[in-house]
Amino acid sequence: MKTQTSYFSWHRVIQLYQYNAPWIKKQTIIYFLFSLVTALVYLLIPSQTIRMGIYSPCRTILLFMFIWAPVVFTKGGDTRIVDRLIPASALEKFLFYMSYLFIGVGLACYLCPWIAEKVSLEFDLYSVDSTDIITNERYVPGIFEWSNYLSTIAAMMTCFYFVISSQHNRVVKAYLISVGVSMFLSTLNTFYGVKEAIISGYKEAAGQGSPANEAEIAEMVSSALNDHLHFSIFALAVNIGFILLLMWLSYRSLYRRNL
Amino acid sequence: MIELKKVTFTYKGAKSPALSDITAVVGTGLYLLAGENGAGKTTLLHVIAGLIHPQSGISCIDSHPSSTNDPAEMGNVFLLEDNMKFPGKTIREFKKLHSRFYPNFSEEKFEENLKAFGQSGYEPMNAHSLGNLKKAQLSYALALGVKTLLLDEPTNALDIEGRVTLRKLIAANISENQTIIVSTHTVSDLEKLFDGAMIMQESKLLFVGTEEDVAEKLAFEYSNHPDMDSLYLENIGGRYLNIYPSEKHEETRVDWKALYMALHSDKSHCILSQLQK
Repeated sequence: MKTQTSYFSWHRVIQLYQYNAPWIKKQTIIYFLFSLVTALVYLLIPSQTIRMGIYSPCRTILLFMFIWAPVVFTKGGDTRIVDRLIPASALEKFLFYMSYLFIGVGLACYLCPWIAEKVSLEFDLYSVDSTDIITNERYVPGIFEWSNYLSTIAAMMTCFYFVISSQHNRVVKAYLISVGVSMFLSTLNTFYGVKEAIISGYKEAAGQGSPANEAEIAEMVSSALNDHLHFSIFALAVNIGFILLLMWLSYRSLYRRNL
Repeated sequence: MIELKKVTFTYKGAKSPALSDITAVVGTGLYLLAGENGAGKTTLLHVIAGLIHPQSGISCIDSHPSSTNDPAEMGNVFLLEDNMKFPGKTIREFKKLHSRFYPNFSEEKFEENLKAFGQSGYEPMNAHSLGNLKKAQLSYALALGVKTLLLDEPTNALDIEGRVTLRKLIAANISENQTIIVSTHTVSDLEKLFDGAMIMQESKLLFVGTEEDVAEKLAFEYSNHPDMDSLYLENIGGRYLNIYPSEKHEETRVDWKALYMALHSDKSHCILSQLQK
């Protein structure tokens, strides 16, 4: 009688990809096509109002596509018993899930818009107004952007955890609780509220005839954000802690295989 | 070999345990798992498959804990539950996705089983009737070649032909070093094939043993007259089932259904004390 190997096997990780292929292939294609359209919107629509009017909601949709990507593993029904019986170690299953979600889904959702934004900056496709300067990565301290990225990842991990471990209503729980987590963690990133207040103040000033000075605005925002640095470090730590906790809980759920 | 040592499990929020102090050793062969509704049969199968962890006690298959994360051991067990959902459009698609994890899966047996059940394997599973879906799933499960196969109510929704076919396929497919446990309420479907039984009542295991164990201790006889000296007596459609200590009678074939009824009657203590002699 033949048996599988007891040792860690990359071949089994690949087999897990093959097992889930019909569903993750479909998801990856849909996600990629939508992100490609989003990127083309950014590159090809000359009017800023129309461009941002379409691009911003598209980015929001991409955000939720990323957060809710783990729902694909429900495979359209309750296949938990078959999935949990699959002879692969918890580490192999965990690696499959994490690599697909972070690399596969991450690239499918964000590669095209990222390229579009880089191309736009590189070739100065659009004139940059003061608002763009403030939202531009070059002027926003990295720590604040990272908090935002991590809260998205934390929400996605929440969705994943409930998909693989909930006994009842796992899809509903995955959708709702992940959104709740996203909102909770985002409120920690209050610097955006501060930033928006500054932006609207300057817009008002600009509207009243005061010229928008790029350097002054950047210094003003940077200074205001630095005043809140300690809070943002705290927010960053909470986000990281949340992700690590959910990763551990998810791994434990896979390890225990408990229904 | 399956070993259960003092396995106790209570569902979260439940007032009483689903499994109480279950201790059993199950060797190779075809075993019946019988009990009333809510006795804990499905829970026990989940424990053996490693899908539920008992609060106390341990379940082992070939000395490895059921809860193992070792793929080599996990690949030796499969549970086919009633109303279980297989991912994939058709059973053939599921086979293509899933069988790669089971090195002893036999494509040939799978095709034979499908043919025996009258299934092509190309129909969408969500368009199947319950019975046809069960046939497709059984065709696959019986071809997996796992050492421990757990079937929960496999004859549910099967038509008469399907039950006859299942009996033939189990008889033909079961190998020497394989254990198949069949949890069922319809004992008669596979009665003549069972090598042993586990009989439960209200979360407890009343009896576990082989056909030889029972045949050595008890004799089962049907007659037109009741025998008040028998350990257990039941009127079944005008004829009488009598269960005797085997010392007083010739050895007979074990009647698992009769044993089940006797163990669930007020004479169960007589039967149990005879079995434990």
